[in-house]
Amino acid sequence: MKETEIVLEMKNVCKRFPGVQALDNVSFSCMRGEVHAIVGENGAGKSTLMKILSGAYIPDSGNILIEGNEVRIENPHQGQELGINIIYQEFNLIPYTDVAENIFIGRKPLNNLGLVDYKQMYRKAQQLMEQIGVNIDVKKWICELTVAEQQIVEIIKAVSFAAKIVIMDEPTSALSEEETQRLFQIIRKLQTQDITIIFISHRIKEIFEIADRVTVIKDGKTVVSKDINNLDETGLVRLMVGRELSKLYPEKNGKKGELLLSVRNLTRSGVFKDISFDIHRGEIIGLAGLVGAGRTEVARAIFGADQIDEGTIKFDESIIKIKNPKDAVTHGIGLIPEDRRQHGLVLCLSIRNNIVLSILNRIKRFLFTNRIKEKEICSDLIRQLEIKTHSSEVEVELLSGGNQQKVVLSKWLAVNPQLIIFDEPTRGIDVGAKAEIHRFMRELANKGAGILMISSELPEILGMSDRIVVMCEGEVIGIYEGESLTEETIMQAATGICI
Amino acid sequence: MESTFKEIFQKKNATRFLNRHSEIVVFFFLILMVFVAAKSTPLFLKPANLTNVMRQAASLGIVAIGQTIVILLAGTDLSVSAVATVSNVIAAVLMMGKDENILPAILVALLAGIIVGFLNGFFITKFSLPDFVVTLAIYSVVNGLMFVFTTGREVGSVSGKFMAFGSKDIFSIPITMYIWMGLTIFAVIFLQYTKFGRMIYEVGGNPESARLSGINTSLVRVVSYIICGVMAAISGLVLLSRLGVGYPLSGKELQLDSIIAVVIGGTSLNGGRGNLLGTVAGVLILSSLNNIFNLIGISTFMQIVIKGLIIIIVVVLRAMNEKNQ
Amino acid sequence: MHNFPIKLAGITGNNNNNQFKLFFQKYGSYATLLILFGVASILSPVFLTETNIFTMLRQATALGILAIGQTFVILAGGIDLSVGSLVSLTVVMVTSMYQFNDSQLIPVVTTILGIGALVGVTNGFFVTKFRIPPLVMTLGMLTLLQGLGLIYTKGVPQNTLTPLFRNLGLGKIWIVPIPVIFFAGVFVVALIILNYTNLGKYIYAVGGNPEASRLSGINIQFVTMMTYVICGICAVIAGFILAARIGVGDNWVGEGMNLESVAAVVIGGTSFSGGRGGVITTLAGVLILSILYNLLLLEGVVYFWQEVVKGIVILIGVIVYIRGKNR
Repeated sequence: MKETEIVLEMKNVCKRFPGVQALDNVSFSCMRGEVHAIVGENGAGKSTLMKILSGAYIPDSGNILIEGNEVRIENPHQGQELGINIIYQEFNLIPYTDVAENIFIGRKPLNNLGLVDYKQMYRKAQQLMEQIGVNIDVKKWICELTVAEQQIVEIIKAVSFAAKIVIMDEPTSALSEEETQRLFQIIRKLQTQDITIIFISHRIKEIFEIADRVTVIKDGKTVVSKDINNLDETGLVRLMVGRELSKLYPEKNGKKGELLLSVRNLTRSGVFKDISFDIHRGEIIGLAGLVGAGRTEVARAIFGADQIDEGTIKFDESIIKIKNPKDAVTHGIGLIPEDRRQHGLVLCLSIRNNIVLSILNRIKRFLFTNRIKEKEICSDLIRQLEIKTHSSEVEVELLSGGNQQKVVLSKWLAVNPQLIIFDEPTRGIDVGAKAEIHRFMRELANKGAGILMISSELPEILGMSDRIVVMCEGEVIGIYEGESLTEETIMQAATGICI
Repeated sequence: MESTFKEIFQKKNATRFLNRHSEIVVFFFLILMVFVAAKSTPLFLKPANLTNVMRQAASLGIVAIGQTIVILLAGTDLSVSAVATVSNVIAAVLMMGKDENILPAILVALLAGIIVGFLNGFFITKFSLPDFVVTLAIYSVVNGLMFVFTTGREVGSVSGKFMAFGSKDIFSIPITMYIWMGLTIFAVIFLQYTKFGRMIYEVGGNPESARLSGINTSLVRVVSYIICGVMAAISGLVLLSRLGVGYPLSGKELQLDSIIAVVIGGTSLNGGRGNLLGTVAGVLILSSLNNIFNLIGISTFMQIVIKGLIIIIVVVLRAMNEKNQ
Repeated sequence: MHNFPIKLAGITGNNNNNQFKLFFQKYGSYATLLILFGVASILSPVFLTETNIFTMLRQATALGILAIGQTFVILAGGIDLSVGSLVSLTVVMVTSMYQFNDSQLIPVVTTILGIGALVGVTNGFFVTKFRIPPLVMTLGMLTLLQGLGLIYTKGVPQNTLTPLFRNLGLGKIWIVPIPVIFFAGVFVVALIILNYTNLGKYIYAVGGNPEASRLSGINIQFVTMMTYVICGICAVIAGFILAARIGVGDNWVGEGMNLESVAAVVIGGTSFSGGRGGVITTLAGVLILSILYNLLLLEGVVYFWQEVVKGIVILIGVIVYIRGKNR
């Protein structure tokens, strides 16, 4: 690493969204040619920070300085011109075109006739490859490359724009151990060219392997920026999560009912492996892990939305086969999906029609719908869950996030399921509605249902769950209860310390 | 092509090559079909007949060039037959049998193609409307206008010189065939070697990425529809040179046939992959098919059935193929 | 995407404004209809006469029934462009199978209805199981059916219907033409299905958000297929009425009707993206088109202009609709 020169500095950057302060006076600085890791749990503010640097968001206040000059980044192109390049988790590549063309998209080298100079393009692409020490065939189509190779193409794209700063968002989440090492080699090569890497991740082990300095962000605030040498793994985790566990959650239930759901060795190749755990009536089981650990996939598989390659599911003592969501509903299993707008609701339909969607079959009279019963069930649930609306005929698109989530919840309550799976139930919802939903979940459990809750908010999962199953990289790391239900234990299990 | 033949043979990856150049399979089918045709009837390979096939292929082929470009963008242009008709009628009426009117007639016909293409592109991009709705609506309007104008009858007339284009051959290949081939070569160079041509593949392959990379996707789309309109107009002129008069029903089959030819040729309806060589093969297959049917004596009615079946089979096969990838 | 925070749903601010927009979307076409009706009455003294109104309605029937079937398909997010040739096929088949024999009525009608359902099942099958875009699939089916119809008649139109059958298209009960009664019947049945049966609710749900519907336990493939079947059956019924009216097996009778049926549905206000609309608005769309044609006829405008008008109307209808959708 050459002379320590500050290449990027963020001072007191703030960003507020309706209902939440995403960034609260965040400040940190990066040196030229260093690998600077930004860590924090889900929702801490990392991606907001990144979006500000890339020009997708504009900060409410604060300064950004590049090489000592204050800048305003109002769109991605400006960011690029200033030397900031971002590599997202979903790549920006054209599948049926080759690597070289992707690198030079929109700016192909031309010859004297004004036509595309393929020779020069391939040569330049090859040069860039060598510059970072990789050897991918530049004539291959993107769809012929592995994910790791596609990522490398993105990196080369960034380098070709004379990037000073390359921001990588969770770059290793889709990579194997070998590929990760290759990525690190590339990063080190980039460092020798005075390129600064901002490495956003919560894989602790990797951070200690590749980063020079680390900035910890928690609840939108900078906790600390330190040299990696002055930290150890447990210390870092503690910095990420240390906070008071507040008493905002409903009382837990001491008693465990009979066995309701038992999954054994659930496997879906490439996604999750050997998943086994139990859920009893009256229990809330938390499913914890990092983004990409495979939690949603397991939930969807149990619900029949995706297939299972191996493994058994036992419901109420008997083995069942769930091939599609319809089967799940018949057995009494419900799923409240992560993305309520895309998967949970039909936005153009009314509240009533959304609520009764899964039980129409049950309440019909001969061939006709049972409007009276529908209205009855509907007003009952609106009252129970305190959905704020003046009529059940309002289109759900018009409701607030919290109320929309309650409609999704109502739909499944109408089904009267034995087991409900909640995938990120309170994401993007204001504090008031959050508490109501929590209260309701506990009531359901107390009435004898079993609940599987996926959440990326540590306080929530600790506050709500009776037991926690932690997943990492598609496998169950451990099942924790009682005394071991602390933020540190869970976080350690979920993060890089499990690799 | 991106690589010279030497490099192709040096590559050990045969499957990759085949995958990328699926038109080879289509050409194979073409040859197979010619073989079968020649076996079924001695009439097929007679030079006069082949010339005839080429004449038919030329007018379809020219439209198919434009249609290929539009389909590469994951769109479809259902207005091509109407444009061919307009060009046909307008040129005939403007020419009125006089040689000196040839140039203005051609220019106005091409202008019509540009205008319709622009309208298509405009409505599709400005209002984010589905392309088949817009082009279908414009087809309807333009077609209707032509019917009103011609009251369903033949109109106008061509001059001798112009007619010669349609009927003369050079080395027993129709001049119109040369025009088609020439346009195809230009189009291949355009798609493969110009910045804009590559942008068409990029926008078609992943429009969002293309946009984020700074490409003006609306402009690319509008220009592509204009090109398609111009091609359809040229095809209308070709038809005119054969018919001798402007006729409102002249371009009728071009609408569906052009799409079928492009799809058979390997260009994906989802955009981003395919090329003109495949389309050439597809056009030849379709034209030969029409010809063979007539020679064997299959009724026009049966022909339509078989065409329908072909569309369905080809599309199903392609859908299955794409699912596997 | 796991971004925090997720784009927050619109907070119910201006509820009144939204309600108005929704109302306009649902019933705007009726406003247009009324205006058109008024304009027509003013422009032509003949328009408001009993004979004219009923003739107009009689002629609107086939299109109307077709549009009702098309509504089902579009509501579920698809499109059926093969309806016109199914109508033609029905016409040629019934005019030749009937054989001047009224006892043939039931077998002939049932057979052809079966064929219509089969066409629907085929369309639906390939669209759902093979994920073929409906546009392409139904265009292929269109060509296929057109060809089959031509083979069937070998180019020679038949005319073997009896006066009893022809009464279906030409007769009246009291002053109401029989076709109109059929139309009303089909309309009512469609209305009931869409608003009072589970299938109807499923259709709206699948059209509005197929994935969410699947995750709610709905069998989206079955629902989609049913819409194509219903559309096929409607096409056949329309074909019967048309055959009764014209009496002869004209192979090309249904040619323009593909586009027209889509136009009526879209003008009425049903959205291409599915989930919004219904047969009530389609009815308005059908009437708008019919009044337009009738008006042009009365004013002595050349027939071919209708094509032009149709195209322009579709374009405008679609633009207005899409704009209304993108709040």
